[in-house]
Amino acid sequence: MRFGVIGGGGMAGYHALNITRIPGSTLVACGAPEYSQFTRDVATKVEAPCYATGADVLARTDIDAVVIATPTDTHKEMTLAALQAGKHVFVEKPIARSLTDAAAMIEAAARYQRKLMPGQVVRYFREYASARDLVIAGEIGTPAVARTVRNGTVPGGGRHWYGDIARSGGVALDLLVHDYDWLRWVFGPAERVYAKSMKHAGTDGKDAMLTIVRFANGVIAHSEASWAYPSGWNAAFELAGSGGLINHADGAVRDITLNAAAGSGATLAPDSGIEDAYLHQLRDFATWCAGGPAPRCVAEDGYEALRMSLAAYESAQTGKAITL
Amino acid sequence: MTNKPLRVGVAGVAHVHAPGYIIESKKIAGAEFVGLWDDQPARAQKAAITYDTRAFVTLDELLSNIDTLVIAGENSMHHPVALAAAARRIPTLCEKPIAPSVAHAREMVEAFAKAGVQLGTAFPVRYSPAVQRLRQTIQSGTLGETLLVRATNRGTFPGGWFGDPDLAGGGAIMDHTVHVADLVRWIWQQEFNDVYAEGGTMMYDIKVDDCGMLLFTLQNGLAISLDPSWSRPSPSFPTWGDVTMEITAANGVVNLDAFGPRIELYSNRAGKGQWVGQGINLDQLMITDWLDAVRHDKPAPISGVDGLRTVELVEAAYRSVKSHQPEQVLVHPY
Repeated sequence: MRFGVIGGGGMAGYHALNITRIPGSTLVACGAPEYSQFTRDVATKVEAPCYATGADVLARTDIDAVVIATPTDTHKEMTLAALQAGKHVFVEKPIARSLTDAAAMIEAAARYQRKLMPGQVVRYFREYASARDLVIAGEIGTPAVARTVRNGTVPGGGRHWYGDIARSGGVALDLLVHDYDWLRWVFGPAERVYAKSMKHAGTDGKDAMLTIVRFANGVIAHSEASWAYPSGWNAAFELAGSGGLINHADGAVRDITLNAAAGSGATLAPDSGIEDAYLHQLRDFATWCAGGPAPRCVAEDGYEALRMSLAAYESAQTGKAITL
Repeated sequence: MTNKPLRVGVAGVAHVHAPGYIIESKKIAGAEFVGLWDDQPARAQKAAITYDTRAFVTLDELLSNIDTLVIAGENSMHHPVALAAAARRIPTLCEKPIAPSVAHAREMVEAFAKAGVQLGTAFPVRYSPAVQRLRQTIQSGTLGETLLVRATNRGTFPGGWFGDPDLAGGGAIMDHTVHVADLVRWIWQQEFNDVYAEGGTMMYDIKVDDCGMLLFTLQNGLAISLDPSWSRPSPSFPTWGDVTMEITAANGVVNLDAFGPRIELYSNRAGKGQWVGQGINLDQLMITDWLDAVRHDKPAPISGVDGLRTVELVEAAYRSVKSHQPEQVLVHPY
């Protein structure tokens, strides 16, 4: 599979690197108005040109698929252009800024008969996938209460596009969309969403939400997301049922950690790739594009997760619970 | 003022907190634990043997032998017992929730106001050193404005009458909303505005809710979520439950575990891992404070009105569970 990458930020660079780690896949070109040094280094190493625009990438007829890792409000425009140019599309989450945009993208993928996959990477995090397996295996009996946490600092200190809720959708579209997608994957469709935002949300890009979701199977979920931490990061989940409880806190139990002396240059060896969720999802995408089985998450899933996130935002704005 | 020991009695031993109140009352200097009464004589006899005290045959007999009463029976018995104590002008500390309905809680508050003696609500978590530090921190102003609060008071299903709607008046939401609700009022000095709640019976074969989730606001607009679910599996979970909070404020984020720091104990005696507290007995601190107020005729440290406020939130939460929309909390003037 011959890949292009559209976008020059942190996620674009990581996807570019992972393309070079997938056997049978090639990073052919990148396109973005500006690049992180990391992205540039990855491209240089495999002699892939870094064009000034995404359109330059789409103009290359020797590219089969593109990764779109641009600001959320540009996903639709980029995706439609890529599909029209005959490329398969892997688009970062959330799939789009609005449901109308997402529907147009899904419709275009069908029209041009190309694959469209949203980057709902949490389905590929081993601990999240394992928890789902345990629930399905009946380890917690009948599921009753779920809790998810995704709290940290505002990306870029609130100065770049993330901090502009009109562009990014704030924590509802950027963070909650991860847990909503995973909860849907575990428990099925959601019925109702109620949410509250922190006071003064949006000031300096800071945003935080507490949300309650009722699922059709009866499960009550509490999902929280924050860009209001002064520093640090906390992701966690808990699934409780009639027969047991599953608990996971990111950072509490890692397989390997290093506390390096300042200036010593000590670093952990890179992971083998077996465990990397981002690599795994992109490998699944490449396999799908090559005629293999569908990945864990397809465009319709991205649409539903976005629908829940937008409902949370609407609830926080209106003070009403939103029935889906 | 007299130096005679305060005579203490317990009415109702059905609540899981009753043993703690009896044991602590017996230890406190200047107090004399006189005995207990329960509407089920067999239960009273058993408790009297266990705690080496006297079982009174009637409530009236108990009330005529004590200076202060602690109520620790089923939720449904708080109201009639409290009214009997008020009629005899006996200062009374009542287990939480003070009553399963706002109407009953108000009648209790009014009866004690009329009698001119103290009615207290048993909210021992206020005495947690971490909670007190949190309150001091918030009130010092160094954190800046509080922007969002997430809290949990999860537990194991206590079993027995807790699953009986007639005796408990509700389930997990009734049992585990009021502790944190009281802390929130006490720390932020605000009354409740509205509440959204989901509730369900998903885990146990009972006729009350065993899980729920609340998202409420204070009158200053601060949003707070609270998980009161009986979602700690028994017997496998290493402790009874928790009281936790994460407070997002303008100048930082505070995390609170009211029963931390914990020790992890792995003993084959229990057959499972256990989390053990750090040895601070909140019941003892609460009862000592209560008896001091009674002895010196001071206002109840945590009043009946404090108890009523949390029941007002609970009642609105149950309305929301039915309406699927947020409900106003009706704050009755006292």
